[in-house]
Amino acid sequence: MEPVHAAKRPELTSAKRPGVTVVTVVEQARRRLRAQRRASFRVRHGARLFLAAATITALRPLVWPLATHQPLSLGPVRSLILLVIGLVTTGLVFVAATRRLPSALATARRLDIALGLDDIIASALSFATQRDNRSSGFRELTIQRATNTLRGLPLETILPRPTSPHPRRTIASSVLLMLVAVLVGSFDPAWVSLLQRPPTPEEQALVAALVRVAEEANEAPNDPETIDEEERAREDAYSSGGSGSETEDALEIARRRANHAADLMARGNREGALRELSAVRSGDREASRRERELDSALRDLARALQRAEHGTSERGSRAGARQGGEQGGEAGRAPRRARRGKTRPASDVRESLRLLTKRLREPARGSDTETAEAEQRRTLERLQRAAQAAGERAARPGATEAERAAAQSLNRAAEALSRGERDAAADAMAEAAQRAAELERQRRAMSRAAEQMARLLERAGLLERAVRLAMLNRESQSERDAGREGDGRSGTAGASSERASSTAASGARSSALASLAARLAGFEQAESVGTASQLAEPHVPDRRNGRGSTASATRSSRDRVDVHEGTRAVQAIEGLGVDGEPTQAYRDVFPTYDAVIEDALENDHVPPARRDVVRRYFESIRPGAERSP
Amino acid sequence: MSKEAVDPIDTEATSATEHERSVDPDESGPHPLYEAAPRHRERSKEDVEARLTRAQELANAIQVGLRSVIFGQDETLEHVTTCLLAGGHVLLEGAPGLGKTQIVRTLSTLLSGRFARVQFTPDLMPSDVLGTSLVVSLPNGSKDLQYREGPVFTNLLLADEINRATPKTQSALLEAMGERTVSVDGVSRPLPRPFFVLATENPIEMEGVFPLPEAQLDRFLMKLVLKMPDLATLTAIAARAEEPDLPCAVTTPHDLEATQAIAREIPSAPHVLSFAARLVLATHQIEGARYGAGPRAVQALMSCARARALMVGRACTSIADIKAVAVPVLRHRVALGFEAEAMGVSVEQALAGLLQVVPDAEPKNASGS
Repeated sequence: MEPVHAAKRPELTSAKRPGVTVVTVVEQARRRLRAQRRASFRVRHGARLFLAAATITALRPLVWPLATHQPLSLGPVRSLILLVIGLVTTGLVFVAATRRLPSALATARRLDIALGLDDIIASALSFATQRDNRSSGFRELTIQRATNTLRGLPLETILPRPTSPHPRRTIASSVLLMLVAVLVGSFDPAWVSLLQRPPTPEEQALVAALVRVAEEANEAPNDPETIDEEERAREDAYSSGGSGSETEDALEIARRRANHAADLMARGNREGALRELSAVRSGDREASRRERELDSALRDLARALQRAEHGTSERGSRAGARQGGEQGGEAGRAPRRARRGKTRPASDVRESLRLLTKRLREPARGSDTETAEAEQRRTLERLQRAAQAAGERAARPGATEAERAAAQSLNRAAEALSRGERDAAADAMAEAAQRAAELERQRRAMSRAAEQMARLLERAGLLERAVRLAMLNRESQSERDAGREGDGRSGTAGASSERASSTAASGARSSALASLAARLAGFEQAESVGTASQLAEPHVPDRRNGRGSTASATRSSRDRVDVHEGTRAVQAIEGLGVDGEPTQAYRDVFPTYDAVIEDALENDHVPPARRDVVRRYFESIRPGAERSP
Repeated sequence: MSKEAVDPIDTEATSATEHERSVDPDESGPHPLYEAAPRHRERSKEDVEARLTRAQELANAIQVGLRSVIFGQDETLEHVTTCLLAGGHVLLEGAPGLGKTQIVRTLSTLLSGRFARVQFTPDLMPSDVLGTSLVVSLPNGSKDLQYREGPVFTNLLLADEINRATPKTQSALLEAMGERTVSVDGVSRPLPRPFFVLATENPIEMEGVFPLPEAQLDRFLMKLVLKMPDLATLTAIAARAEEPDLPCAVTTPHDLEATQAIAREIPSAPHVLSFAARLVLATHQIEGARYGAGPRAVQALMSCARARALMVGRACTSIADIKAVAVPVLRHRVALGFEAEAMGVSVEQALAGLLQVVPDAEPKNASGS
């Protein structure tokens, strides 16, 4: 049967038309039934819908977990968002389920059932709304009877709305359910560790310092003042080949890991923070290794050319003295600078190659053929040695494209010269000089990155030490709580009465903590006075200038250890040692020495002839050295 | 009313004594309501309501009269009354002694109409039921053929053990039931109105019987099954005299016919008609059914529903009426196959299940506007 709408059927609105009351009452009953259905739905399924919304909210750790870098306070916010989404969804389900009005016929039959009638109202509705004009006394009688029944009928009585037996209790239960759901949804495993082992003030200060340095590291490579203008112009001249993206990536990864470690510390995840700090150290080690390799490659090349040029320059000086030429004097200038250690190996390589190129293009005037041939033979020998050295470097795994290109250029130059093609050899040597400049640029970029990473590593080492101390302190606290105290040995000179009553081991750790706190206070004080770069200066070796700084090192530590940065490591080992046994692993302490080693090797304190021996020694004691290439 | 005596048929008619007790139609005449209310004339609502009330009272009087004689078969009596008002015929199935003949006799008394009983036997011929032409001597000495009416010319006919007659005789009666006329020697003779046949079947002695074909069964409006009365009913029967006094007549055949006309006027709403149609269609979906009910079943359902609405004084039919008469109306119109019988499913069980399955409203209506 078609639905009946009195408003759409003008003939039904006429008072003379039979069945108006029936249609009107049925329309009212339809709305009443919809309200009843809504109420019934609310009573019957409201709890389920609320439970569904609460379940979604409580499942927040699974459906919308927090990333390790996100703050824990985001958990309750997400739970509330999920709660709102769940409630809106359940509301939409509720509206969709109860939106439609029941049909007029179904409503009429419902009224029949409610009144105990057998289809009288339904039949009367049908008769009243049928479009055929067949008139029947029984139809009108049916309508009349239905009208009489429905007139003044209290719909609220015959179609009552279902109500909850305990509305207040229901509302209270719902609110409680929502609160519990939000609480459960806000839970994150990090809360447990954060509440059990909250970060100490020292750790928090070190984390802040680490983040600050990481931010500075992010900005430093773009700082125009950090790059020498002359070097920039030189780099631009050799703009072919790869840039320092590898270096920047390494620095960026280290910076992110440092930030991640800070985030993990904020979440109380000390183990995770230690892992990240260890990864920072590994990144620094890798950057240092790469820088050393590049430096070594350039030095080998320079050495090959230097030895050649040295002999040549001596002979050239003598020949120049004889011939009055100036070529030998120019050739001897670079080796002298290289001997003094004041120039960079790439500059030596470029200078040597430039002189050789010039010599090939413009042979010395006045020299006889025999002398010229001897000179060409000697140049060929130098080139072959340099090509061999570069080739050996390029053949090693991990060699860069610039190294391989430099080796190829030198090979081409040697081959061309062996064939007597001086111009081709000169061109190849010029190209090799460009590759050497490129290698130098990469080395400098890696050096800058290592510099920044060393600063990061400085803070990371302090933070790592503080974390380990805190963990050790907590373990000893747990032991004391468990009644497994030591044999009553008196503690060291502690500051507080609690420390005074602790064991010797815990006293040692306490003193280490105090030392760390004093160290941190020194940092903070210095930072409050000077600029950021000045503050970083005492703890990070200046690789460009080849000088180490001891501004923040104490006098006693300087007396004790002649290696500047080693002071802190010795302090750490002393602080961490309990009962004569160090608790800090050598692997963890060594990175602090690493920068010092490089500093020392750059200085004139170590004789150049012994530098390789010293370097090999430190390489051999480097943790994991047997695995590194 | 003249007494009927047709040999060799065991025919009974209401006695003169019973006539005296009954309402004489000549004396009482047709009810003023029927006289004053032509069938096709517009009547006022009060007039219609008065007619309906009168018809309801008549139906109730018939039922009360039947119940005063027949104990423990109220549902059957209600259905018999329904069939009577709907103008259909009833097939009664039951063991001997359950009151089948008594129902018809009581009914004839209540209606003050003619009553005849035919005991169907295998040697019963159609002419024994319909009548035949006999050679008679005229007063002038000549002879002529004169038609002599059979027992079928009555208001109420009890066809006892109808399945014992040959199909030829059965079909002769069933044709008269359907057409309400008898054609003998090329002459069509109408049967008296109302014409109500109540046939019986004995389900116990099934040897040597001729079961009624399904097409013939369809002529019966209802098939009622008489059940063995319970202890209380049997006790009441035992406490009563062997031959109960028959009740007085409560109406006349003319009034009954008028009441049947009122029942036919009762309207049905579309959703009620739809339910009846869906119910009949659903009989074809019964698992293991050999065949379902045909279109005549819908007519039968609606006729019975109208009569039932009249009996309760309602001016329209309802789905409840359909449901109330569905089983006796559809019982003999649905045949189950061997599988269903093997599973022990009876037609009544299948129809009861069907009434639970078929929704009252059409699905699209049930889904809302």
